[in-house]
Amino acid sequence: MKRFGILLAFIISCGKGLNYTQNFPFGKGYVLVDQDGNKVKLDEFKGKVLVVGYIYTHCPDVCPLITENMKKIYKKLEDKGLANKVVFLSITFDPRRDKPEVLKEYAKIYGIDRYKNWYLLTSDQKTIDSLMKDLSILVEIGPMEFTETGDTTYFIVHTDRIHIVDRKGKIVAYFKGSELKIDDAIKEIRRVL
Amino acid sequence: MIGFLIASFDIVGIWARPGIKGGNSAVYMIIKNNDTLPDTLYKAESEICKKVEIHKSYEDKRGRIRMKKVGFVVIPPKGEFRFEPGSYHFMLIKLKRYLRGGKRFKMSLYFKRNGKVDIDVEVK
Ligand SMILES: [Cu+2]
Repeated sequence: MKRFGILLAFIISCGKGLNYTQNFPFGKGYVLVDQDGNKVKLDEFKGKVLVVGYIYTHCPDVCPLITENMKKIYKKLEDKGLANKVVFLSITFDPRRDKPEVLKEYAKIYGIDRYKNWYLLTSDQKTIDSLMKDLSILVEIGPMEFTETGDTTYFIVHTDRIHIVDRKGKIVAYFKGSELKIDDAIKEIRRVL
Repeated sequence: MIGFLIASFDIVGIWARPGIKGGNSAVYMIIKNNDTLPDTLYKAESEICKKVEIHKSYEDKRGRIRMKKVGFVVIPPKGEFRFEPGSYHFMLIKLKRYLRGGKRFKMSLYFKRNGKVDIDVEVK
């Protein structure tokens, strides 16, 4: 039994998506704001195949890997002429700092601003907290840090995740966002396209 | 690739992530120690941001990504120390300017034995 538990924990932590049937939180009235400041109902994305990543823009090390991996997925889909059939969402769990204009700058410096079907989404703290809970993305704000000049900053402990959502709103695969194999993600996407 | 040859080091593969003004970035590199003695890197500075910290990203038991501040790192004799994405990095806190691809800036590293070493960092 113990060995089974360890094996199960191993399978879960590897996150391939098999037998993983969590639903994307559609139908709950979530309203977000995109990088252009437009209000977007999460439900508007229902019926589309989604690649969803969870980030905060002040994360300099791991979140950029998640964004870079999503970009690689995008490019590979683009090569196959499939990019316009998929919608990409980068949802922040740091709405306090990640205002639409910050997300827009982030899109620009990461070169994803030219992708029309890539939305960078934020909202108010309450909405984001609830959304992340529904998605099992663990988020914990770290302690305030100070610089010599008295400026403050903080970092966030978070789950490292990319989800693939099918047209019915089911999360059909989840990956460790910073470490996934691009071809594995492409395979999952093609399966539900 | 820019390389720096100091007394007994080679510092290669130096690069930084893009960053937003007021936000953060990270710098990566490989420090090769050609000496038969270890050296300790204990501090870094740059004009580009308010503060530079040595950090390590790691995954905790609940599968969450965390970062911790590291007081120093030891570069082993006849060995190397790698700062790379998802692991050790120099954290640039509160950037004073935008860091866009292709931009360069200076950074100083402080070693116990070799003293202050100035390097050139390119944004990629
Ligand atoms: Cu860091």
